[in-house]
This record gives sequence, C-alpha cells and structure tokens, in this order.
Amino acid sequence: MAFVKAALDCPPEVKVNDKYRKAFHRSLEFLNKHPSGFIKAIPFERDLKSFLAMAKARADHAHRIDLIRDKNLPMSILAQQLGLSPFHAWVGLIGHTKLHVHMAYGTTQEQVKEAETALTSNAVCLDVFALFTLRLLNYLNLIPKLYPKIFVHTATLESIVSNIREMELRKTGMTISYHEGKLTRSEVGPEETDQQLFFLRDIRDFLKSPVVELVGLDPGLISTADMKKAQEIPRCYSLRADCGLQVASCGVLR
Amino acid sequence: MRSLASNSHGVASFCTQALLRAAKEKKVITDLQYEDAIITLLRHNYYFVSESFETLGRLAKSEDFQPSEIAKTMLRRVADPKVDQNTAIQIASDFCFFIWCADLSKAKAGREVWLELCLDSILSAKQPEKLLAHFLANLGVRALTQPATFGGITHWILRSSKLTAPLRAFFYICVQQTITLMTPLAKREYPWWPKLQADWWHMGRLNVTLDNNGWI
Repeated sequence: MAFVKAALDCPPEVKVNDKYRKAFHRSLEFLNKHPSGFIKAIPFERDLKSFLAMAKARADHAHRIDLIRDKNLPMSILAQQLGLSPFHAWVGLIGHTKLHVHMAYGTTQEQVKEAETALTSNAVCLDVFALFTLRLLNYLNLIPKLYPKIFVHTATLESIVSNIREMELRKTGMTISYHEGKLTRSEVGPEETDQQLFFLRDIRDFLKSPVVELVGLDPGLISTADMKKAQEIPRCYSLRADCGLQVASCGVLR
Repeated sequence: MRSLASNSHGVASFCTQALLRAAKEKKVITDLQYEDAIITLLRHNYYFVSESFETLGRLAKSEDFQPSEIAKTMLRRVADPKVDQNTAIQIASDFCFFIWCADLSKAKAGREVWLELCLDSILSAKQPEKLLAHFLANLGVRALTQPATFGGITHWILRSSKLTAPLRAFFYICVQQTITLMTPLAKREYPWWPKLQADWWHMGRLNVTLDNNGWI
C-alpha cells in the first residue's frame, strides 16, 4: 500500500524502470481487487456517468453534513465525515460563506467561567484547532508565557506532519466536485501550498520544541465507552471546535 | 475533547478567546493586540467571538471609519436572537457614544452612517421598543459626565425619520425618563460638580421646548 502510494505521489519527471513499473501495477491490481476497497477503479464512460454519480453522492453527503454542522457539529467529526484532515476542514471553514468556526456557545456565564479557567490554569492541553487558531494569530509563543506545562496529543503532531508531507510531495492540487448540477474544478497553486506549508511547519516546530510535551492515550486508562470511541479516531480526537483544555489531572490524557 | 474532559473527568476547558483574555489580563499582550486578534478571528469566519465596543471602535478606526461588511455584521448582532441582547445593546450604545466623540475629520464616512447602522440593527429586532429602552439606559450611564453627547445622539435619532410615529413618541418618553434618572445620579456620583446635574436638568427642559416646537 505504501509502495503504491509512494509511486502515485512521484513527480512526473521521476523515471522508473520496467521491473518496478510491473511491481507497481501488480500492487495496484491487488489493491483494486482487495475487499477493503482502499483503491477503487472508476469506469470512465463517454458520458462520465459513473464519475458524475460519485461526485454527486459526495456533494450530497457534504450537503447533509453542512446542515448538521449548522447545529454545532464538532469540526473534527465534520472532517472525518468528509474524509478531510483537520487542517483542510479548518481551511474550508474559515473561507466558507455559510458555515463558521464556532468559538464558544457565547453565554456570559460560559465566558466568565472560561476566562477564570484560562487565568488560573497551570497546565494546558491544546487541541489541533486551537493550534491552527493561535498560529493564524501568530500567537503560538503566547502559550508557554501563560502555562508552564503544555500537553498536545501525539495524533495532532502526526496529523500535521502527514499534511506537510502530502503538500511537499504535491505542490499543486486539483479537486473535482459537483455543484448545482455541474462538475466544478478547483485548483490549489504552488504559492497557496507554500503558504499552507509555512503555516503548518510553524505548528510542527512549536510541537517539537521543548516547551511542549507530547502525550498519547494509555489504553489502561480508557474506561468509558466515549474514551474508547475517542481512541478509535485518534486523528480527530477533538470533539469541539477551537478549544484549549486545561488539564487538571494529567492522568486523564496520558 | 472538551465534552469528554468535562463530562467524563470533570476537567475544565476554555476557548482560544479566553486564552487571549488571560494574556491581556496578565499583560502578556496589550489591549490593542487583543482587539486586533479578535478582529482577525472575525475576519476569518469565527463565530461567537464575543467582542466589545472597543473591538468595533478599533475596527472602525483601522478602516478610516468606512463601515466594512464585518463591522455591519457585528452591529447586526443586536437583532440576532442567538446573541445575548443585553450585551449586544450595550455594545451598540457604547459604540454610538464612541462614534459621536471620535475625531472623524479625516474619516471616509460621517458619524451619521454609523448611527444609522446601529439604529437599523435595533429596529430590525423583534421588539425594538424594548431594545431602545435598554439602549437609552446604557447610553445615559455611559454619557453621565457628558450630557451634551447624550443629547446629540438622541436628537439625531429623533430627527432621523427612521422611527414610526408611535415608536418616536415612545423613544421621546424614554429619553426624558433617562434624563430624569441621570439628573439625581449625576448629583449622587459627582456631588462636587453641581453644573453636571444642572446640565442634565437643562437638557430635559430643552427637549420639552424642542418637542413642543416640532424641532425634534
């Protein structure tokens, strides 16, 4: 699988000899037939019937998710449902015309309580969307000034690094989607990719700095059904948009 | 993660804005840096970013007092049922006070443009009369030491022809009631400043004259 993925990610100028080319095709064929459906061949008819049906199904699915999102569906769930990384889901939301990045519920009591927590905490656990927000504001450096202990889940670093690697391999990208009965194409140019890379690298460097302690879930501590669910989706562990989390008992997240 | 932490483990959590507030409180960032951060979040489609009139003021100043779409959205929150209306109307009244006192000599738009936006937002709410009464109460307290500013804003609203006849009559009564409340309040808060109390009282008398002659 990794071999096929690496081969698909190769830039066009890379010359591959016949031996490896055949091995690649065999792997591709194997994965195409595999019941997991990791790779699925799309039949290209003259009228693009199958392709259109796929794009339409995806657009319908996204529309249904959009409707739920309006009712405060967590961003991570949105990302997971749309098959996007948290970063791409967040980028999509900050540029969306109808949807928003929900900061808080907005009641006065909530704000007062949160401000008190933020002021009195000594340790903080940051979720991936809080990192995106703070980087957007160029305030990643604020966190160590406010909290002596900073915890971040290892899955967050993995997600960021995975995004960086993907972007480094593909400087440009193209998406075909279905909108109001038509196929639309959107492209991401190298300049935009470079900006996003710069953004993500800053977060990666912050996460790798000595001020941050990377932690993961200890299976021995997982007792509730919710926590078990959280472990099953480690990349999307954050259940609410844009949050920082004060860690009162570090054991919870270790 | 916040729901899990809170429901399953009793661990408190907070949003990034609370972190920014803590940074401001601890003097790690300045007030202006905080306001700029809030404006950046609003510009990037963040929702329920609770702003203050300082945020609106900073935004208006940074855009040469030209009302931008984001400023209009912020002002329209007065009529948004999802937003705490008491807070929203306080922001609107504080902002009107700010706009009235601001130096707009080099501004791209006059103060009346902003006042119109505020008034339109209030009037688009379900119960504008309730909001107008709150607006005046907040404005009165805000302008306690500057009765002329209170008079300027309220006269502009009464003359704006945006209010229907019954609403205008209601607004006029509320203005006079606010003045009646502010006069003793000025005496109580500033006993060494008798002219302030007198100014509020004269304002009430002036309004009666103006109203009787149809000038407001």
